[in-house]
Amino acid sequence: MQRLGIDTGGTFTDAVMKMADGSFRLAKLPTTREDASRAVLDAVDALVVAETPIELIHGTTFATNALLTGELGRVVFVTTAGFADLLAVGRQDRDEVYALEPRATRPAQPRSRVVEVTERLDAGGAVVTKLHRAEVARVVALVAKKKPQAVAVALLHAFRNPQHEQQLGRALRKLGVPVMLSFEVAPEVREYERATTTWADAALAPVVRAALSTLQQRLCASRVGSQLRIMRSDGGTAAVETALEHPVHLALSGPAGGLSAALSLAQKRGDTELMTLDMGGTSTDVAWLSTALPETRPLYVGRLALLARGLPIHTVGTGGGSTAHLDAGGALAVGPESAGAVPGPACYGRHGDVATVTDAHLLCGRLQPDAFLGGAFPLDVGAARRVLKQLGQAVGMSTHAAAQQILSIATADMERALRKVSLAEGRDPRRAVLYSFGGAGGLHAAWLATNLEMRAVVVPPLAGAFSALGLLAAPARRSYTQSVLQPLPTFRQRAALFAPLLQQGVAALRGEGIARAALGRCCKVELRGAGQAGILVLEEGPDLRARFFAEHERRFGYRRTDQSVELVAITVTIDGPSTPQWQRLRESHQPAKMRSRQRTWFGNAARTFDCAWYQRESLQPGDFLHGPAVVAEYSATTLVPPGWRARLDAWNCLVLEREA
Amino acid sequence: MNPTQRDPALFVFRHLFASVTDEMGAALQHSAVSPNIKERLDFSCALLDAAGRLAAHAAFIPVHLGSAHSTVPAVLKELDPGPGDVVVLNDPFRGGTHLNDVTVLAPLFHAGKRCGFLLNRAHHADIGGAEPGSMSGAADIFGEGLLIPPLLLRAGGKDVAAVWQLFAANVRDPAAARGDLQAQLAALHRGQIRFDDLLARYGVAALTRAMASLFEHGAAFTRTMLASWPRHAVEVHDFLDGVDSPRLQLRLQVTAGRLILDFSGSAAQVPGSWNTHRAVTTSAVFYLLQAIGGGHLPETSGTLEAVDLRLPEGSIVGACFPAGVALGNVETSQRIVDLLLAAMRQLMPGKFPAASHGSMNNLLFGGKRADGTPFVFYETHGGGAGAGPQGDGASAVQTHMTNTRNTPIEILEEELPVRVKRLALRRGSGGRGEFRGGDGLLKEIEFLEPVRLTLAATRRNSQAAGAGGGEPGKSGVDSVTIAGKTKRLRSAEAIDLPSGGSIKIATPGGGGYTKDQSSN
Repeated sequence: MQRLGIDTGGTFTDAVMKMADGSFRLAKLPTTREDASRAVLDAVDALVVAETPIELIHGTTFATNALLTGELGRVVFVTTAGFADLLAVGRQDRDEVYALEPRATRPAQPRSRVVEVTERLDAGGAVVTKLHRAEVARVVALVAKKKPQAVAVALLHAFRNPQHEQQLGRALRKLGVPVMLSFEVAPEVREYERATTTWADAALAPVVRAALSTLQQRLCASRVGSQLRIMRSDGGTAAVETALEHPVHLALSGPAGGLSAALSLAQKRGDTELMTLDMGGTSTDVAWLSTALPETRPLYVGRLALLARGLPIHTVGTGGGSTAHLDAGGALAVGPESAGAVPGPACYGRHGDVATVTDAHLLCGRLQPDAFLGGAFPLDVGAARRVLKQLGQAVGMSTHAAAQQILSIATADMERALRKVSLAEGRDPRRAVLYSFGGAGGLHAAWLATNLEMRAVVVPPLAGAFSALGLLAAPARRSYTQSVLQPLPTFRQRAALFAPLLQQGVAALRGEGIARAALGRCCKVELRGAGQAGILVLEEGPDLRARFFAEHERRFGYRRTDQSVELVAITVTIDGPSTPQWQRLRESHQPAKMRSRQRTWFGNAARTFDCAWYQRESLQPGDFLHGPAVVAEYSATTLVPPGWRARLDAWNCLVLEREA
Repeated sequence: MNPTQRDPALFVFRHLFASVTDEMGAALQHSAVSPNIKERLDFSCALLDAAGRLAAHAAFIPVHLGSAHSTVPAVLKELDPGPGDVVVLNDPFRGGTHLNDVTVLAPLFHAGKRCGFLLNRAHHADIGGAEPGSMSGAADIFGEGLLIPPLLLRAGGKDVAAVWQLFAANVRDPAAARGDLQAQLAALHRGQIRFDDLLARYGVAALTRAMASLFEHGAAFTRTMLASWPRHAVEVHDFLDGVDSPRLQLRLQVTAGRLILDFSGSAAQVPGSWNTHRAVTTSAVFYLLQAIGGGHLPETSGTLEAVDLRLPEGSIVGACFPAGVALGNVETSQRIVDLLLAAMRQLMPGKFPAASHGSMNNLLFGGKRADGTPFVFYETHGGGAGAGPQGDGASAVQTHMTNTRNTPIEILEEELPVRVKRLALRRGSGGRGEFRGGDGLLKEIEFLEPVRLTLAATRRNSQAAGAGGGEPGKSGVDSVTIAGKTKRLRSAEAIDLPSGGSIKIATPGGGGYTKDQSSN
């Protein structure tokens, strides 16, 4: 069956299909906002003309947008007596520290649809107040009267002892709507975050079900026997039926494709540690990934913290559309305001009248006005020069100097972001490779790598549609987390804790038709020094205590072996086989063929270079070139500064390294 | 360099300096032991130039904002720290804030010359003194806990054992305190490594120039902001809860590009812990300017250059040794913001919100677990935010000088012998108006072991003012129940509760807002 990866983004829906000869076919259609599945199905038809069944792997921003816009199902929230306002109080912090009229984002759950239950557990999970059968009946009747589309149940300490939630769950499920129990959705300590996650799961259930079922029905109507798989926040895929069981795990489905692809490509190339740089129009996403399954909790959708597992994305406000201005102190500042897609940068010719990062790139000769998106989108150099000249005059510098400063500031902001996910977390960027994708990352990547002393920059194939490519590569996956909060148990005791989670995952993937022998298992422990906040994640195995102290010293700079070690949580990941999209090609070793020459500015110097431009699509594996040079491709541009060289490697990646 | 010509690369350095303090902050949070630092982020990290002026700052709560720049000058009067030295201090009158905030400071050297400082300041849950948590029950600074003048904690790269021993001997939970202090040192170390990277990359001259340019930029930023303010003077006053209701008075005027804040007429410093000194009053001013500027003000020493802060010596807003100041940080600082905001409302009617709940509702208690191990706990509570021209005030939220998160109930009950009975919005406590003030918070905690407890809070005998004719929020009201008998709890009064006793905290609501100016 033909496999397609389709990624619905804010502006474009990208579809990628792998051909028999190992090449890829690409379709890029405008996202249909009112009915996202239309662009998805159009993209399918564009790539597969015959009405044959396909396997569609889909990355969707539907759940993210539903949470951000509040277009959610009608939820009744059930919680322990005395805590009806649990979701309303939250952690009592406000969104912005400095605001005259502060706001505090909380789940939008009206008090009229909250039901309190008389029951109570203590911190050890022991029953303090018993949940009586009559109380269960009262609660179910009350919930039914409120006509929910879904029910969320979160009781205090339920992750320690699920008995009361189970009792309520059994009774509530007779109402015939989805019932989400906190110990199932997020069996972890911290009542507000666990309740929020359970609430989000319930609130998404009706709307995500409607959207994905429609897509599946329409897909199967025209292509009988087709299969639909959905990318989840943890970087693995699940059959649509499974994905719908707990839709909260689709909260960051969109960006997971790119990160998942970077990881699987890194595995092939032998890069064990990497940072990703995905520069878009309004913002830039960075992440630290290691091939030993990175993940993070909580993950954030807007201001809501969800105890769901996701890839560790950090977003900063500088993107191609970020605007430059003179701030109140008379300094040139870039962002966080953005010109977005409309009007966009001045050079888009849509009446944008504020200078942006993209305008600065264009004026510095780093973009070709007539070759942007394959020439389909001409850029207006005159408009870029006009806005940058105005800005330059205001700041007291030349037009070109203003453009160059904008680019330096944007790079510094991204550098801070990369430092945050690496050095601030005790990780050494010198050991990592920078994977740059998205359209504009390649314009900054070499300087970022220089400043962080990173080994190399990798610009993967199809850099502009890399997330869609990642969907094809992602494995089927189940991941589970369970809070433990005990002094570190012995190896044997831990095995008993892992066993039920492993069983659950194996059974689920075997249910998707994957053979037991093909399953990969990964068990991890989250440890901390007694009473500390800093949690270290280690692979399960012998000598945990010693490994903990070594890691603690590496991360935090000191070692306290007098400290007792606590097991905070365990995590289990079961993977089906991934479908590698990366094929080793035969490499020649020859100089690349230049396409043209253009004057281009390369930073850190007042002068521009008359430098060679290359077209990525016409390079062959093994072709190499020396900076200063520019490599342009359909939807991305990469700069190779003086002192750097670039080579298309056997994996069809453009690899930038410093000259020896 | 021409002082009006900004270094064009200013924001490049601003981002790079910020990554030094980012990294210190992450290191401190991850390795600290006590919940107040690791969960509630009650700390700050700063990068300063050789003169001690603030160049970059990572602060998660505003009360730390305006104090870092006063530390280095105070230290240099007494010590001349060299390479490998680390200074520790907490004396509010010699570079500190209040005793719980323990500050560590390390000089930065290049080619044998001092070119800057790094510091971090973290709120220790206990620093000795009369009561667990060190924030109540004292007549003056001596009763508030261990007073640490600037001392070397490390000398030439080696721990000064005597200072560590003295420190550990004076606090109720020495293991936690040592762990937190160690985490503070680890954070300094990380900052030093990162600053050395910048030195290697740009050289000392470029960094020094960039810092100077940042101060000028901060000053210009404030001047631009002030240029649009009306020129007439406004006068406001308010009172602090407590014995004799100490008066706070402020006259605000912008003249010749300078913001004059004259607190003459404010009460003399009082017995007890309610006084604030210059560093903390400065933080409150910094906070309000930052809130007006939407968070865009550069956090550098330059930003306050255009501000004349006139504080009467020995007053409740400009306290002198040996005044107690523990609660001045957390309560009086909120009242100073209320006062500043009231002045702004008068200066530019219709632009500023009503008063917020005005307290941090500090709960402190300590005791022993069933197994005999001691515990000390500190937490602050949110209340109603003032309504404003944009709409209703937020409910049960931290306002103004703090933004710390609460301790999850499941963590609280895991670590301490307590049971939370109720957590709720205090409905109807926000002031009415076209837009409603936010509601306060209700929290009820039962103690499973005997504890000694203090609730230090204000707006118990007064209310958060409404704006433009909006009604004030309701006062807070707190009580304890012992053996079925409930009695009103007085603020800052330490009491003993037996096992089974409970406390009920009801925090104040925010003021309401209406555009009707006739009743103003």
